Amino acid sequence: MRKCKNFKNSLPLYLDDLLSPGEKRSLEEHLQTCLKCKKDLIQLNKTRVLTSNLEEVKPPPWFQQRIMSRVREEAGKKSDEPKWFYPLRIKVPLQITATVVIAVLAVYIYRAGEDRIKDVVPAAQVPSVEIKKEQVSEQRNEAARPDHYPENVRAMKQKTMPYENAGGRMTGEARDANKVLSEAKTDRLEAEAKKSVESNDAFKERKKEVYAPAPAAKAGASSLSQSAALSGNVLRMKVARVNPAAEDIKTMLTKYSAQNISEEASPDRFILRAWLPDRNMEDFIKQLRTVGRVEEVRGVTGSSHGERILVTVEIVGE
Amino acid sequence: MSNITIDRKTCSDDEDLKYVLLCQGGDTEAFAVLVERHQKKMLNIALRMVGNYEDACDVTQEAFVAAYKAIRKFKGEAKFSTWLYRIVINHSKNRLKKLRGFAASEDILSDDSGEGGKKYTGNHIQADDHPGLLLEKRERDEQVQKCITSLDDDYREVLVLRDIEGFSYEEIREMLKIPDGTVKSRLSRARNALKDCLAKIMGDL
Repeated sequence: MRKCKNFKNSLPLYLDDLLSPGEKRSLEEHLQTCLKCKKDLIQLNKTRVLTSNLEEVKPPPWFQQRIMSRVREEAGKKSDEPKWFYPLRIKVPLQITATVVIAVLAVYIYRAGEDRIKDVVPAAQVPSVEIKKEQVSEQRNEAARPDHYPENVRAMKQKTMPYENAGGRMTGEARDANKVLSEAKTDRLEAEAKKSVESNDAFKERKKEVYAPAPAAKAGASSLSQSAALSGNVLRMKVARVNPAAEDIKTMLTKYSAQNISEEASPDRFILRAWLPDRNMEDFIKQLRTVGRVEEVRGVTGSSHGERILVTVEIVGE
Repeated sequence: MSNITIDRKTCSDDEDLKYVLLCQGGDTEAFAVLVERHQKKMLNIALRMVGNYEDACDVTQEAFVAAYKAIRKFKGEAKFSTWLYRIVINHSKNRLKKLRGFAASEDILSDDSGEGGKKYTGNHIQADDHPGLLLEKRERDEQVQKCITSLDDDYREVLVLRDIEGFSYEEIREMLKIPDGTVKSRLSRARNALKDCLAKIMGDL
């Protein structure tokens, strides 16, 4: 019957007495004559009984404990939450920043130490030539070790070039700086980890210190020995003709598995630097004597342990 | 430092509030009391919503942990239990969505396996004195649950809260955040749908 449809949604509510008096009366009238709706009502009633009689289940015995152990975990997490701080007004987790700072500094300090060894020998004349050579050797080394350092360090290296060439610092400072570097390396790293990351400018300042550009120190003819005090062996040679001798010595260096050979030419001398395996040092020096007179041999002892030593050969004409 | 404005409440609500306040103040163990007081209800709501005991246990635990994490947000505008049960209802609905994602939707009338392939196990029914009756009852309960599970989420939740758990219309409105008229119309449709389903699988009721 048409009317049944109208009452379909009223029937369920009739049980709860949720109908208005008018709706209720209307429905009851209909029920008197409609068998289908009467049957539906009875079935609704039974359904209601079934649902209300559904048994309540019990939680398992470990239930509360398990919940509380998770809750306690959460409580623990809350107190351990890493603090945020704001380098450069960017929200960055402390731990990540500290790790990044340490990693970057470690790489940078290593590089800086290495680079200082390639410092240009201060010569009175032609600073520009030296600078050029320096840059050339730098680039060569960059090319030689393209994958050695991460992008940001290489970028840093580019940035530090200007400082290199700016000049004005005495090699004495370089020496001190290097000492500070090698001795206090760990201290510095620890200190760095505690401090917040500086702004870009401050960071450059720091690099200036650390890097302590020595190469461009041109004051007088500061001797090789000063910069050489940094590390490694220094050999001064007197030869008849500088350039062929330099070629021979270069060949020799290669023969003795030297690495990172760099050279600097100036009107009156030629300087070769390379990292030579410690075990070959003696033989190499012997060979040098066949090329010319080996005048000075100055070295820092105790730096070998099967490692490479920096050797600097200064070739001077008779 | 409480962020609750305390109204006149019934005894049991005051009891709850005491522990809620402690919790908000940092006393984690106070939460254990709240768990004990509400775990059975929470579990049963979850069970009727998701249709099987295992998932219901998971959902309830999740809901409690979520409640703990959010406890500072409870401001006392409603009863704590209302606030709490709302959480388990939401988690139940989320679980249903996940379950449905795995299993193709099954027509309850043609397939016996129920929601997500998991059966509602009646092993957790409180013991009856008559084992024979118990078995029969268990089976009947399972069939009823299957039909409940086959309802749409919106219909199911009002049916569970009203006809099974016995909450008042006011409480249901609070929990589901829907107006009174909606509660009633959904309930009506839910009951009709359930009746039709049961009539089909159980024969004459």
